Amino acid sequence: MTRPSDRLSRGRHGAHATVPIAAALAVSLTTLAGLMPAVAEPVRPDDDALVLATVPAGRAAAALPVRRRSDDLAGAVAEARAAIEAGRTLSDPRLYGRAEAMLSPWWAEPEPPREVRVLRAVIRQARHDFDGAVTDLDAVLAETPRDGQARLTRAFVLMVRGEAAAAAADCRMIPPTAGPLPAAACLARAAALTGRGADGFAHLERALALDAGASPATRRFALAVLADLAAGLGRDSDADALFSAASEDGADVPLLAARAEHLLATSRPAEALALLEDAGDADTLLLVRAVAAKRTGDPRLDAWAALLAERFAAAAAAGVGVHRREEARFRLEVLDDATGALALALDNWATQKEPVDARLVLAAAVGAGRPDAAEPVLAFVTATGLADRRVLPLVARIEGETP
Amino acid sequence: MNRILLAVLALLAPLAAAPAAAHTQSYGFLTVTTTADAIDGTLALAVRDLDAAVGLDTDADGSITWGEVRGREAALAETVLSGLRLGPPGEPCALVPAPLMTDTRGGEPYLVLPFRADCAAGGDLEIGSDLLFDIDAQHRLIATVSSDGATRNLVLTPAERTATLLAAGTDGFKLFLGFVVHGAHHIWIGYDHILFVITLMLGAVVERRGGRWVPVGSGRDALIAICKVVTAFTVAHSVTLALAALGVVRLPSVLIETAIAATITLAALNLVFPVVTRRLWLLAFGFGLIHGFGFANVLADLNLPATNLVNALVAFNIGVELGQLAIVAVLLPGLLLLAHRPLYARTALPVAAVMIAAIGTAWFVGRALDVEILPIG
Repeated sequence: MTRPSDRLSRGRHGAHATVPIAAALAVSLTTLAGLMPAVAEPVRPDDDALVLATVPAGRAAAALPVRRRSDDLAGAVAEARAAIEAGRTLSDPRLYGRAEAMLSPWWAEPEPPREVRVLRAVIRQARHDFDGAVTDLDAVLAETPRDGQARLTRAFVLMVRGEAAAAAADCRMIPPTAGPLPAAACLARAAALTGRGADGFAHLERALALDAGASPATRRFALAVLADLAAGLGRDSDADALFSAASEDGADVPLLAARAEHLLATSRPAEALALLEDAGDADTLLLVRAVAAKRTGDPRLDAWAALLAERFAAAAAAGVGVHRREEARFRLEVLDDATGALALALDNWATQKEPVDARLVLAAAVGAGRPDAAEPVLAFVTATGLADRRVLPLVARIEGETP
Repeated sequence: MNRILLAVLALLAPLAAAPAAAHTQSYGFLTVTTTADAIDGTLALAVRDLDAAVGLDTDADGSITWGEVRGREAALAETVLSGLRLGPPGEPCALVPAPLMTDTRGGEPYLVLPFRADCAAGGDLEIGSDLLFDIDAQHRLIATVSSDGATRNLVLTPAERTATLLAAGTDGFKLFLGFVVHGAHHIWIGYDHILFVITLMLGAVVERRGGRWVPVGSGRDALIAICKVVTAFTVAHSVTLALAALGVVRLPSVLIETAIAATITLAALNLVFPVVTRRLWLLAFGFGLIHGFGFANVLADLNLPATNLVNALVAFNIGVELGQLAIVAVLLPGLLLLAHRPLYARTALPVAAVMIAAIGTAWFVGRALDVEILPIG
């Protein structure tokens, strides 16, 4: 016998999802289709030795462990945490999906156990559900105000949402047990987002000098934040040195991307390309590569652009909306489609308000001849005092154009 | 430094880098072409995802070769196709695999499995998949279905593993009719809606006088009273059905289902412990708003074509009204006959109301706690 709730929940992917997806798909495909390679027909290989893919060795028939038993919370949390860490290091969204699957016995609960809730917040922010992440972190911190990980995560999510003042309050409440560096890096970044980058830089630089005993991972993180602060202050050679120091014993994908972005921002696209050679093809890296190739006239541009277009189209078809920032950038700097970029950049601005997001709106507004469209960003810059060197010239330019 | 996790992970243990590979979200691609008596399709899954699910690197050397895949092709095809459901609703067809192939999508290697089913698929088509969702909660199966010259897209997710595509009529009227039938069908299998309409009708033929229920004046008065409550209910649920189907308002289905159960209990209790005794139509209207959201959830199941949304909405609603009218037509004569007997207001009405309230309460508890108390509804 069927209960109505069964009847209703079975295969409920109807009007809700299909309609917007169809619309998004139509828009996306019409504009990106021209870029995509002629569909390569599947083939049946004739060589048994052909390598289809490389995977970690030593894992024959075993799948990644998936926990669905609700009686092993500690095991599931440990595995999910490892998957998230690997997902971050490699900028690999699949690993976040696996972490979510490992947490599935608790995932849908309104109030899951605290450890699950913190990880759920981390996964939610990774797919840009910032409000959902903050809701989880609010609940965790209401119960355990001294949870350093939750505190630091919320601080950085708030910074993404453009709430640097609230973020700074969280930074100050990171417990000393986490060591001085996470709090110092957190505060320095919050300061930079409110026009006090120089103070933040000095503060964090001092903290780094004083805390030689911090773990390599923590120092790497603090150095990366410091490098980004230097870039925002226009202290380009400091930024170079700091990115280099942060990458000393190997750089993960986010750090590589940040370093390559700095090379692009300082007009060194060929160096950016060289840095990313053999670095894999995570979306962020592929995007930087395409932009650099466009600027240097690298012949690989077409192939990379086609790949990105294919990925954006798949995301649109699946109703996945986490790539607006990347797609806006792609349209602006690779396709020279400032108008299309502006729409996406403004859409992205509704959820993400970091300097890079501000820059995207401003540059797209300039390119599209629509300085009026940059109004929300100009208001934000005025309100926060953001003084990032990667943003200010565009602000000045638009203000010069606007009567 | 635009990835927040940089911060969080400083507090987590670092992890050795894994080999570089493509790093996109996990997408599967299903292409289906249906004709009156056959389904042809291809299912493309990333090599990396299949490896995570079933382990493709047989010799564990870190390289998945075509030979390793080919060596177990039959078993692999069977495993994969057993996770896929295609066919008329509730009757998945047996899918027969064709030789495996490979290609590249978004820079990632994929295995492409063509298949065919010799089964009647000219009508409604149900598509379901359990592949990979339990391994990767962000996996999405992007399906493109071509039938009768029309192409439709849909996406299966871990939460929505099944979707039904109505037979695409190039004939718009046929499609319209299809939705009318779905609407009527829903009323007929929706015991909760039937019970609510019955409750409304039971109460409409009496009125409160001197602390007791007494029959309304004449048969004509009773008929008018029934018309009023049924019309109010209809108008109300039409409004919310439209709002929800057009995406103006969105509410979780479990909330709606539970609230619908509550409306039944409350409407029935109102006949035993009267609160609303005049203008029963107001109660019908208020509760009707809730039932409309329930209809919308069903409509969402039916995978509306974007272009025909309003048409489908109107057709579905007409179907609901016709179904409802049929219930009224069946009950009306008996009710008009009974309503004048003293036994009705004194005994039959309260007994029926208490029974209905009990059923409504059982549904309410069952839906709120997600347990099955009654075998139906």
